[in-house]
Amino acid sequence: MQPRLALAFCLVLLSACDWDQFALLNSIPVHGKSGGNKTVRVYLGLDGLSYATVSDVIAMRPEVYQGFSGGDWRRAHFVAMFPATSDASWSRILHSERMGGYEYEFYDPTQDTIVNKGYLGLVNHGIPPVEGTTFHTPTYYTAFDYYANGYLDTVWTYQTTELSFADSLDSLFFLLAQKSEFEPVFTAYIPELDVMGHMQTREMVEESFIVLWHRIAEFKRKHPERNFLFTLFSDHALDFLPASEDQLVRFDDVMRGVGITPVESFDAGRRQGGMWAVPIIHTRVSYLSLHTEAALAQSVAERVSGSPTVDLAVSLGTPNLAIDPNRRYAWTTLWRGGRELVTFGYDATTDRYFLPSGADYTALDVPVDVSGAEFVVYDDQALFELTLLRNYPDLFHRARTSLLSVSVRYPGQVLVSFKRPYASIGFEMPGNANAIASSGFHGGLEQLGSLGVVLTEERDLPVAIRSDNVLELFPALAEHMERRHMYLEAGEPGSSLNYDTIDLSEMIDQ
Amino acid sequence: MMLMPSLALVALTFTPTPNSESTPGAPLQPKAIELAWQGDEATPHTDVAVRTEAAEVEPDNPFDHAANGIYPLWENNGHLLPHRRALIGSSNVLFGIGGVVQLGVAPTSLVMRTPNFQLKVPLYRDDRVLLAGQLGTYVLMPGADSAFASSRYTSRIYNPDHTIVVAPLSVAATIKVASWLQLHPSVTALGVFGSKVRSEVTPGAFVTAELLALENHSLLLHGGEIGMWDHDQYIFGASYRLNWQWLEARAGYFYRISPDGMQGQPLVSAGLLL
Ligand SMILES: [Zn+2]
Repeated sequence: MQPRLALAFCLVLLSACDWDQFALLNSIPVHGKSGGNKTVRVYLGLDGLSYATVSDVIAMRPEVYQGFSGGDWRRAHFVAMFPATSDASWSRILHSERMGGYEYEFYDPTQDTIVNKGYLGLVNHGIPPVEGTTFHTPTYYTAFDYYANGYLDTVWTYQTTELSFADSLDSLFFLLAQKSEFEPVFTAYIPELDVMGHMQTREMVEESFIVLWHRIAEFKRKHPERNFLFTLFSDHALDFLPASEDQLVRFDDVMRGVGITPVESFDAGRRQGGMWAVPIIHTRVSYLSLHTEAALAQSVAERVSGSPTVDLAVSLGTPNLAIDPNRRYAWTTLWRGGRELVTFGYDATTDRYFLPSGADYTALDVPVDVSGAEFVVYDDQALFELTLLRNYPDLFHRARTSLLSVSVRYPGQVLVSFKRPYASIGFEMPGNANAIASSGFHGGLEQLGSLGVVLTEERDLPVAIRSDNVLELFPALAEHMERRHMYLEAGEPGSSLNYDTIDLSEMIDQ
Repeated sequence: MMLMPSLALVALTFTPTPNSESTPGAPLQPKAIELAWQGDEATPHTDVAVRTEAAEVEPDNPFDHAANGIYPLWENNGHLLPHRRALIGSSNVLFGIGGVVQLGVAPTSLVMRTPNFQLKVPLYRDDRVLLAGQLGTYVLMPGADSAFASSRYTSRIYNPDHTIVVAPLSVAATIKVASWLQLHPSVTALGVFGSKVRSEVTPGAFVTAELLALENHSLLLHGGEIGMWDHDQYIFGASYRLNWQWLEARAGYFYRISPDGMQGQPLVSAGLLL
């Protein structure tokens, strides 16, 4: 038998195994001994659900509004990490084992090579270049009791998104009723709202959220025997700003245009000489990462920020010796229009930021006034509050930690946030399929793609939650992950906030 | 040891005139079938005598009909494999002894932390009705709930640290309604036992309509109810069965519908008839 045929045969047999067992186990009614799990906490990870979408739905639909105002639901802004992309963001939220890079394709400096380039040709099978389109299962998936309903679920998610969403809800509620007899926590991951946001319309996302809302209410009505406390949380938002085909950027061309040679390895770059970087073309998102030597990083960031398609570029910064003569702080530079906008310092021992004078904070929509001083100092929490509902929520923390190996093992040296409606085309589809997955984006630093949502019946919530801290607020979720034998990363020590004292009441009109 | 001679015999007897002596589902024709069973007189074989005997118990071509259902546990029928005939399949390994017992194991479950066996006996038969009883046991060892090859499948059972024993007792019939149609109703009482679960017996009923389309092909429509008065779920599906010489192949799609939600999934199996 030809090896391929043999492989196909083995795969069919494996499928048969899973299918038989799936049919067997899920048709055996098994009940827990009575009296257990009076309260069951249900955590639903909703990929790409925006705070704004939920606000719209609440405003539009009286029954959902009733549920909020009359029920026990609480709502918080969720601030995604930068880049606001699923694999990295879920890993950050769940403190799960770090990914290689921000998405499935990444640069591995230990091998000096790009891993999983072009998603292994999956695009040839008509799957659009949106994140989550692979059959790999990153570690964070282990946190979810349910995330898919079959080998080809990923394909259906993209081919027939509405059906797939209905399927996801059907599956998860099918499982929940019996599973909750044994476990006090149930977790599920639902990818379709993100896919709808990328490929369809905001209305479809809103309608689908309402469907989910009704299903939850219906399930709770049918199961008065337990107190089900639902928590819905997302990993990033969606900006619902479409990009036309000529606004989808091939970043290799941008790099060449500003005198940087795109290469596939550091070795190739060094042999080439001059200015070079390894671009990681992720999925179709509004950010991009570049890997290059530390000595080149600032120049690369400066130059790419000169492209009209780029809003901001982030790199490590040169220490400001007037503020930090002993070079004890971490310095980060934000670049725009081919020049440095600001280089800010961070002191890890005091969790404080140093914002020097002479920077254009207005351009960053950050309301600080440094006039008359050499610099101002903000503690992390104050900056979080100050920037939350600005154009770049939690800008300083997010920019700084994007370059650290938190959630990812090999962060880029330069991160690019596109100027919407421009976005990275992602790995390219053969044929003329490029128009798809262009109706909404996320990934960059801007608010529209960054503010997700946490909705819960479980507890009171602060008005906003940084992605790093979600798990802190939901210890039952962390315990559930540990029961599932997951190793939880410590995360970035400077990420904690004091949610008891956080006060944004003046800024927020709930 | 047994495999090769049996295969050879099956090939000799079936290849020239596969199933040609009997129309599936037609009234029994023991004489014609005996001829087919004995096959080429020039190749005497010790099995022949026994098989002729077996043929008297189950005079149809024993592989015209499946000897169990495609949906695990709940679906069954009145057919048994005759003496020393076997099905070595991906979903089932079945073995007939003396025309009075059929032993079965589901190998797929076996490798997924679920040792199991089924024992099936004939209860009654006449020209139109075959009745059989089956006792099974599935031991869901700790971790069986997550022993899938792919984490893209999730079980609603949760047993990472305890064993659950599941014992179905069922009575199933095959009713020959017409030459082209058989009905396979079955009723099951499913016992569930374990230290961390409620010990209980759940009733269930399944009916399968088998349309014998062409000589070697059947289309089957399946419907089941689990729980009855304490309703748990409905099962609906359709499948296709091919029996061709020494090959049995089945493929179908099924839905499980509970009051809370639904799951859909394919089922496939392939087996050698020995
Ligand atoms: Zn997305």
